[in-house]
Amino acid sequence: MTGQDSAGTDRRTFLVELGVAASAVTLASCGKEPELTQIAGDPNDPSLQWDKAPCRYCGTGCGVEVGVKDGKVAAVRGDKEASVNRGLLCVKGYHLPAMLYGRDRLKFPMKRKADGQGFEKISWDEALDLIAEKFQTTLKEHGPEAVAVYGSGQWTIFDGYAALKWVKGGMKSNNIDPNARLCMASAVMGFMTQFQSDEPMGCYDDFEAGDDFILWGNNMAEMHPVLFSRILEHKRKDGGVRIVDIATRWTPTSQYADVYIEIKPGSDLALANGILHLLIASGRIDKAFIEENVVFKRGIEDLDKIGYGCFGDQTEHYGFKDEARDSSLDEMREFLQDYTPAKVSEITGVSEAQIRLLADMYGDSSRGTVSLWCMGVNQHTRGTWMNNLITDLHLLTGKISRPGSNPFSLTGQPSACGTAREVGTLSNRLPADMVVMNPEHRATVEDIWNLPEGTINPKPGYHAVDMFRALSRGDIKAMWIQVTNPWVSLPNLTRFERKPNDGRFIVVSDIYPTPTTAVADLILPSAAWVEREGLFGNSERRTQQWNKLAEPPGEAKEDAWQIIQVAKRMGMENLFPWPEDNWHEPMFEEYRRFGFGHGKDLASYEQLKGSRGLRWPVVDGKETKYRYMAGEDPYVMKASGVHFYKAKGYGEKAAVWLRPYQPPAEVPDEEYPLWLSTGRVLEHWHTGSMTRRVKELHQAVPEAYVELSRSDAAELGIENGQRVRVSSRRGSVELKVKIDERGRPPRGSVFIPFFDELRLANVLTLDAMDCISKEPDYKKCAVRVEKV
Amino acid sequence: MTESLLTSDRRSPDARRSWRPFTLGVIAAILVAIVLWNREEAPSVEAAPASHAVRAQRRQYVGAPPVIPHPPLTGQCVTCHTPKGTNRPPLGFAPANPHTKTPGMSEESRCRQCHAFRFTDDEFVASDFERLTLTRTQGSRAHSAAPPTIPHSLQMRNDCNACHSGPAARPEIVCKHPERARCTQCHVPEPKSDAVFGVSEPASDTK
Ligand code: SF4
Repeated sequence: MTGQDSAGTDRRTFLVELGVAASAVTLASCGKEPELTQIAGDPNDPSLQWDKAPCRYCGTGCGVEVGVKDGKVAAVRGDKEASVNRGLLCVKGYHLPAMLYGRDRLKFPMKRKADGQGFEKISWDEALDLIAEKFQTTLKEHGPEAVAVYGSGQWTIFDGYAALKWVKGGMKSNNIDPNARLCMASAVMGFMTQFQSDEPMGCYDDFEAGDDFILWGNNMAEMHPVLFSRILEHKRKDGGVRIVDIATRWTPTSQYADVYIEIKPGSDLALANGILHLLIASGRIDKAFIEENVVFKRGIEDLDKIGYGCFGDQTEHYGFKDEARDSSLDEMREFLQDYTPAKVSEITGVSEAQIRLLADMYGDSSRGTVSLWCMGVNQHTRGTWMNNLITDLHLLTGKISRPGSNPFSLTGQPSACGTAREVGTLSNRLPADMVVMNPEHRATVEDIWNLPEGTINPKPGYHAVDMFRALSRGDIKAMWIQVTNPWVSLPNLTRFERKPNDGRFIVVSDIYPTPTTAVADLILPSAAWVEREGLFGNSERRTQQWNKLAEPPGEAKEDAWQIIQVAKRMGMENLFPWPEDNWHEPMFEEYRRFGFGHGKDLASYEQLKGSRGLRWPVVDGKETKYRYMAGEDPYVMKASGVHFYKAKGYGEKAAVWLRPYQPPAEVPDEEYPLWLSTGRVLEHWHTGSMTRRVKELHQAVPEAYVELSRSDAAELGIENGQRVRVSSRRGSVELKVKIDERGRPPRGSVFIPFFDELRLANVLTLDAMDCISKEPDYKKCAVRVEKV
Repeated sequence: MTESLLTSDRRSPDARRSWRPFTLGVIAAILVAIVLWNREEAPSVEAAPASHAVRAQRRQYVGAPPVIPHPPLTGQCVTCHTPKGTNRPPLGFAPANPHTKTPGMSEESRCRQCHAFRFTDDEFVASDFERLTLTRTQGSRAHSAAPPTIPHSLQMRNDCNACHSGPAARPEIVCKHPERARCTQCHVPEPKSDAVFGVSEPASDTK
């Protein structure tokens, strides 16, 4: 090490200059922005109060310690006691505090002026009265199909439960759906069709127990960064660990993979079938396991019947229903005859050697295999099928419900599992996997909610995309949107353009102005994250509680409170019989009743308050790591092996589904020769309404861009950093080009992140959907790129 | 206490990725030009309070990971930010990577999981966030001859020498005896500096 000689000092001087000069250059344009105010203090400051909370952003559910000074969040640090992240966070998590303090935070209820131009401040009483009146009039004049609530996988369990009870138990409508429909609905239908119970059997402990990690279209290094750190750390300690990245473009994840498998967009179904073909043909399946635990099913495969949800008579309403029939291993062997390595290689672009390698990995019974997926598989016109096929690989090899061997579906939002799925804030669902179509389920809910028989409407409501189509048509007349930003995140956005005073009434609850608040008739200011008490449920069935730690700005109120107040004004106070100053715990204790005895048991509120979250089922105060596994799952009475006890309809066995390859809804042609995929970046959360107000995150990725391959760029005469116009059949957007930066699509593909409300990726995307889950496909449509 | 994610052993050097010296050289030359251009604006090392302020400007609050103060360069961060830091003339001295012994850091070159570049403030909506800055730089002593305590948390800071010695260390925190490798043998963290909910600091659940 260099000592403190004069040369050292020179270098040091140089370095300080370099640092300052470089930042002066990179921030040359930032003079107009005042620097942040500084307050004195340090982490030892006794006035700083520390408490636990889950991170506000992704489905990983990292534990953070929140430092609060004078009612404001001043600092966070990774919670070393949290078993999810053990002290580590990602760049979004570390920069959480400033997320709450953007200067344009919404602080007061605001109503659109009578002339339709701009908003005026009103009181909470006026706002709540207005909503109650509009929803009541709509119900009276147009019935329960004309009202709707569009919610979120970022709703706390309280918000989702209050909304569900108000819509289904109060207004007798089923028009409630979350943005989670756009994100994990295919995973839900995957689990439901195979296990008749939603949520994964594995947990994050798989990241230290597995040998081979196979990522299906999942850029984990950016989207679930702390979980990827756990896998890499495991790999560092155990040199035998392998990571396989199956992807349509090179990402920061690919950099750490042992094998990178580049696949043509939408051809994953063929690849999975190709692996299944090799496994069955070579006998590398677990016959005893299949005999004991598996049934075979086959659904509708006629493309003309299924469609894509966006062409012809499916353009306004997509209601395709699959029908199951019994199948067998022999029929499956026959069915897979078509998926020879040669044929699969032709469809997918994957070499035969790599297809065989994947089969060898899944087929090696001595190694633990964890399959991981998220939006690449879920946002897919055959997303449920693809979920089925990945799980088939595990069911046929018996690599399921044991440490280090599981199909593991990752979720994008902090409470996509806890709220959207477990509370069941979907148009067809009720809590604890129950559905409105089932009379017994309706009766159970009516009983717990103390409502007269026949209250719950048996007809499912609109799923997310159809809900907005109905709004555009005028079939929905009153809509309340909470904790989400559909006018940035819906596919094929131009379909949903809205003019004020069109006879619809739209309420939006949010914390910042967005393109969605811009089209609202009434804007409500919400309390965010630790400005209120809450509960989230993460990807591994972990329910995490936090207390109110900071004061919300102005008159901002939590979303659940807003709903309860409106319900009370509509004469539905019986739904929320708890005292105004103490309703969180009693509401949660009522909600818990749905899961008792069904393998969905949640911990008590008191236990959750004192812990870093617990993984359900929690029986006798003890959490469950692996479901359906003897010795781990308290509901399994067998001495060893597994028991898929939730799948009553399949004789308590899991279903393997035969699912063919079908092409995407739109494929590149001469006019639109490139594939478009959209997604997130590490630094930004969803539509950017929060993270774009955090200086460090905004500076890092200030605007959306289009990633282009070097060869396509050369052909078009485009250079890195140049502006181009990207167009599809539905719209166009101007963006800067990035070549060979963090993401590198192959020739013929481009990628655009969707966080930027000033450059909307979703004017390009197509509103084609998964046939079963009705989740849109944001990953595949055709575009062209031109110089501007 | 949960088991730490990370241990102190590192990946073998051959697992690290190569960098491209030529491109780095070109960028370095550009940077030198930038530095010369801005020479009169740069504070000198003697102005300790200024370097203190510069340090604060790189963090959202005390304890936040600093942003990256230079533009992106070709190659991996750890090519220059080695465990002891590297002299990269004419670029300057790249400070040591302080995380090679940090529990919770899984891969030495995934720096951008926590550290972000600064490109532009264009389109940024103003913020009212009040930055918590460091007001104390010294620990306390039990008596005049006792070694000072450590006034900050050790989370993500497990290699004292990375910041307290070497050419990149800020002068006010330079350690006079970096050769005595086991710092925490004599210097102990102040109890509150590592306070964890439910352990040494009570939960503020009365709010
Ligand atoms: S965004 Fe996700 S990975 Fe990052 S700190 Fe939050 S929960 Fe963890």
